[in-house]
Amino acid sequence: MNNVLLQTNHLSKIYTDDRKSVVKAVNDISLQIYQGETFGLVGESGCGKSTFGQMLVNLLEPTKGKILFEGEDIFKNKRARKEIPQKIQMIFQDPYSSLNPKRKIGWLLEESLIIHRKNLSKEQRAKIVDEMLDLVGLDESYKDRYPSQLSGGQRQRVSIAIALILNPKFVVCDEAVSALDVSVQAQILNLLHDLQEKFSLTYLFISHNLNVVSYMSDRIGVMYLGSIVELGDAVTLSKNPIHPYTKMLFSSSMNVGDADSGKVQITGELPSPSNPPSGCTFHTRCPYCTELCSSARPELQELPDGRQIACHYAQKFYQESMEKKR
Amino acid sequence: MNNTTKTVLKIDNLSICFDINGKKCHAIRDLNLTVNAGELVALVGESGCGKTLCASFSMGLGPQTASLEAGSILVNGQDMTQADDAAWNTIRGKDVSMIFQEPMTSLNPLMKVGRQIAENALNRGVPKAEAKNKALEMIRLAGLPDANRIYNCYPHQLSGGQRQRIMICLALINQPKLLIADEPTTALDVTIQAQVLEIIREMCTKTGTAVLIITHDLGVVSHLCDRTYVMYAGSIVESGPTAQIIQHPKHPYTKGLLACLPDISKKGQRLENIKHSVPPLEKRPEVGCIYANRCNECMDCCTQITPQRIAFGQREIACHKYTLDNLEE
Repeated sequence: MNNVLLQTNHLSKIYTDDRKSVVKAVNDISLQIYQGETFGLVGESGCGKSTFGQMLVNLLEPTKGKILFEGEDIFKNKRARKEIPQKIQMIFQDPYSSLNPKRKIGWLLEESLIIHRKNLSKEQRAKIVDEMLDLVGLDESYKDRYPSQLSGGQRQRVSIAIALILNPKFVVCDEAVSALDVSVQAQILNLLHDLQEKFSLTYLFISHNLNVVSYMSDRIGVMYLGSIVELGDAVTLSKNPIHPYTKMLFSSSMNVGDADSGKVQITGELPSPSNPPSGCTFHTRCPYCTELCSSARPELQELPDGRQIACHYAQKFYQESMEKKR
Repeated sequence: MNNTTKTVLKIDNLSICFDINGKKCHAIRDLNLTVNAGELVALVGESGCGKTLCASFSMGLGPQTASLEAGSILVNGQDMTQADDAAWNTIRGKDVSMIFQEPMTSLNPLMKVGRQIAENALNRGVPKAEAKNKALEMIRLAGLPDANRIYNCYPHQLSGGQRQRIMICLALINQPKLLIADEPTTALDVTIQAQVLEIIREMCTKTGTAVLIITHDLGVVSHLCDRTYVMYAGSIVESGPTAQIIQHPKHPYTKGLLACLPDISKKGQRLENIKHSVPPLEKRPEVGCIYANRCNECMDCCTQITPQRIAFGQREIACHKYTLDNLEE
């Protein structure tokens, strides 16, 4: 499980406009995603998690930094640009707008085979399409239907089938279940689990729903204004968040059966990314903010339990949480 | 106080139909719901269950294609079942108001938000200066800093969370008896959601307003509401105090909804789920339990006889599995 499948080195996406105002949508993210794991990425909207995901699937070009897939730079040369993206696929958030409404489901699935698998005959392609539909729990009759004839859950199954038809190794699920009802959400999460086992897939699971992310993921990264502020094992992180932002995020998630006590006061909103606060970007909302926080930017450091965290007082908070446990 | 003044919303045996290809299809069937003064009540269910339709009829905003087949709606003791627009206009915004799901589209983009709030008071005969002061006070109550600046902002200058707070101000400025909140936080981030819900709770306690929250999020319900109605395909399948429903769900649908919520303690296990999805209007059975085709505890009688509501304690449930005897045990 410790083979690095995908690695980003100082990955940044910076937008500038005519007035030279700069938005660092993704700011210097270096992380590793291991073969076969599910890596969860959480944060408020506008924190850059989707931008990060889109760079991995080559929908956006990074301003700085590198993406290594199986040790190979995906932008290295023409061959890499053509071959690697086939192994990295994406499932989009909104199944209502991500499928071409004018095309039948069968065609939507076949399209990528026509482009990328030129040696296949028509019959072979049809067979693969049938198998894929069967895998995601739809029968053959769906091939001749249009997306508008399908429910949200069925469309998301089609999106999954499209993403998996080229046998990818890595799938970016960008809010893949957010638009669905809870009962359908559970069906799709189970399906994603089954497919992961069957094809030994690796997922990057992007969502703002902490319950979903902590259920699905092996490791979680928490993003705030373009940077990772805390990264660690899913269970450790959700049971014992250390970074004040992670604490706030987990306090605000309303879980059935949770007690209201022990929750952190939630204050403020995400600052504008075009004018981020100085020092630690979270200091404007942080209840423990000191002078140091507003002047110096904390670097990611590793704690004894293996998690990475960007906070000046990480050690102190960690000690406190350990004492509380005892 | 007697019973009629204490109940701010009472829906009795309400049935609403749509005409689809010449066939009458029930969108809401035999629905009973009451909201008492000062209460926070939740209406939960999947999308397509008729929650929003039920809310819009309680505001007199039901679509014209829908026809009210049977039942009555009493708002603040007043029978509004046959009321026309003029009658609704006398109580809308004053006795009952509504917060919509999308804070991005429910405010007038060409008008300063302060004036939109004040307008609602002006319409009720409050003098201009007083209306402005009231609006400013509401903005402060909603926890928005720098009320004077916000008053002079246009909606596009505010964030989603701020806009939703403006909607709350707008809805509550006349201290209505009832506030209907239709998915008030679905479009917002988790951190903002928690803040907005807290504001709704606080402000309504202050103004003595009863709230009917429509949501699909059981987490929100369990943290916020006193009583819960669980709705499935146009009918209430279970109702009662929230804590009882969350801790001891009885109806298979409620159980299913709770079981399919992912969370860290279920890690590595398969999530239970409810098979299929909510049937479209024209495919709903006329007799028998509507939930029968998705129920994993379905019996023979379920498809043949429509289950009746059974009341026990403060709860009501409509399921063949239960009789008065086995409920009281």
